[in-house]
Amino acid sequence: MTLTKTLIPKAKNGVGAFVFSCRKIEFNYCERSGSSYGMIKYLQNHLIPFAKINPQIEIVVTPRPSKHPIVTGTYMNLKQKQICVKNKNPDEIAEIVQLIRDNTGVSTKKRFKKPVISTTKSIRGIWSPFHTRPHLI
Amino acid sequence: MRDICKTKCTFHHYNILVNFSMFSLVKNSIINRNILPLLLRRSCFVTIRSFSNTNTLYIEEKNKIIHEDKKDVISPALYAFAARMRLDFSDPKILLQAVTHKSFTNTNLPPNKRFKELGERAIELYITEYFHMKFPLLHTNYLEKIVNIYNGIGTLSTFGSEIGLKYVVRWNESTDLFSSSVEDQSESTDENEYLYESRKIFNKIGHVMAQTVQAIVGALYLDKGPNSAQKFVKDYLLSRDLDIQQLYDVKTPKKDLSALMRRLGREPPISRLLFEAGRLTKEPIFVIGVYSDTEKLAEGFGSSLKMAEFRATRNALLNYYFKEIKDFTLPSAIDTRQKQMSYIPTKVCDTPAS
Repeated sequence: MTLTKTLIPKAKNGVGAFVFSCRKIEFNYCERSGSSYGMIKYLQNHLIPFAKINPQIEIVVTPRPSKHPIVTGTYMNLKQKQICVKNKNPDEIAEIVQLIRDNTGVSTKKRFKKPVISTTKSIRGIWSPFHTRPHLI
Repeated sequence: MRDICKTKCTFHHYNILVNFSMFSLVKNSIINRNILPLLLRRSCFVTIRSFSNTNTLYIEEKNKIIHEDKKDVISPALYAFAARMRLDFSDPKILLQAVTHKSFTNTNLPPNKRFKELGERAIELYITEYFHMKFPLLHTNYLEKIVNIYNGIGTLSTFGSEIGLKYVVRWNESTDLFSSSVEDQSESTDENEYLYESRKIFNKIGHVMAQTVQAIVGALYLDKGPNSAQKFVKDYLLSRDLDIQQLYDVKTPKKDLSALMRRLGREPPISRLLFEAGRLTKEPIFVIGVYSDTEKLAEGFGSSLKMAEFRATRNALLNYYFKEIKDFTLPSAIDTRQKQMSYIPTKVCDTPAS
């Protein structure tokens, strides 16, 4: 049985061209609360240079009153990663945004358990008893 | 607030979308006071999206805003998409047209059908050319199948969803524009499920995304030239990994191998048992090698002699027909006289049509 109708070639990001994995970063902050103070300073001073350097990321800024400030990254595998940046300095927030930017949507737990993802199972081939040299005395 | 609505769109925009409430509690809110002037000074395009729905005055304002809203506005998502795929057209409206499906009527731009027709042919050309050179001895029906896979809705829609095209295409879900065959194709057998990225590629958005990918290639071809389109196809579509040998479907490999050896003028193939273990047990293993007069063509294993021979002859056929060439020059890459002089074409395939 041929599988032509359902076979789809697997993507190999980076072999031809690299598709950046972080699609969108959303910033939520509160205009009045104190925990958002660092976030507000970040938005005023650091955000626009960051957006300039990363034109491939869509950046959304939304006030969210009476809630702690959060940074949400949306990735190409439709997953999201959220980090709360309450009571943080603008520099720390810049680090966190960089972390979100550099990430893919793959969960950290999965990545820890399977650090190597490859289409080739082994380099030298699976061992076969029929192809080893027989023991000679 | 009104002045902000009428902010001029300039050519180089930012990918920033700022939401602010129409009637925020704090009159001089931080975002209004600090960020918007900064953005205005850099003549950014600021999209307005209000999030509070409780105020009645807000609703009146919102209705007025909709009338002033422009059509064919390039969203931040589209700018981000263009930067991500490294597309820089001479006119941003070209990209906007390329992602506009014909079902999207709230626009002054024509749909992407024309781009799609051109792009579809261009993709077919570059993919056919590549595999034609790469597998010189392959049967033509398998070559056709490969091209159909790469240029098919499955691959293109999966590719589209992987680059974030879903949030960029402009389309409307309307049943009359999509044929009923869409629903028939949506069934997928369980054994092939692992081959899908997501199961929802054969639905309407899948069709739209596949057409949009073709339209983008077409737009690149028109705007930037064929080399640019070829680079796109090579970078994004040909870099995808497909196990070609999975496609090979042979019912009588022994007969086919004999015919092949006869055609090549070589000795007829003979199977020889190389290794075996557990012949009289429940799980025997036999390893059979297929030879053409002392030259081993291939070997195959199996739990019976027949099975092992089947696999061996099949592997021999695979080794011949699916032989891969690693270094080759594509004919479409010959654009200078010097390259024309130094071009060495590969031998034309002599595999008869099946």
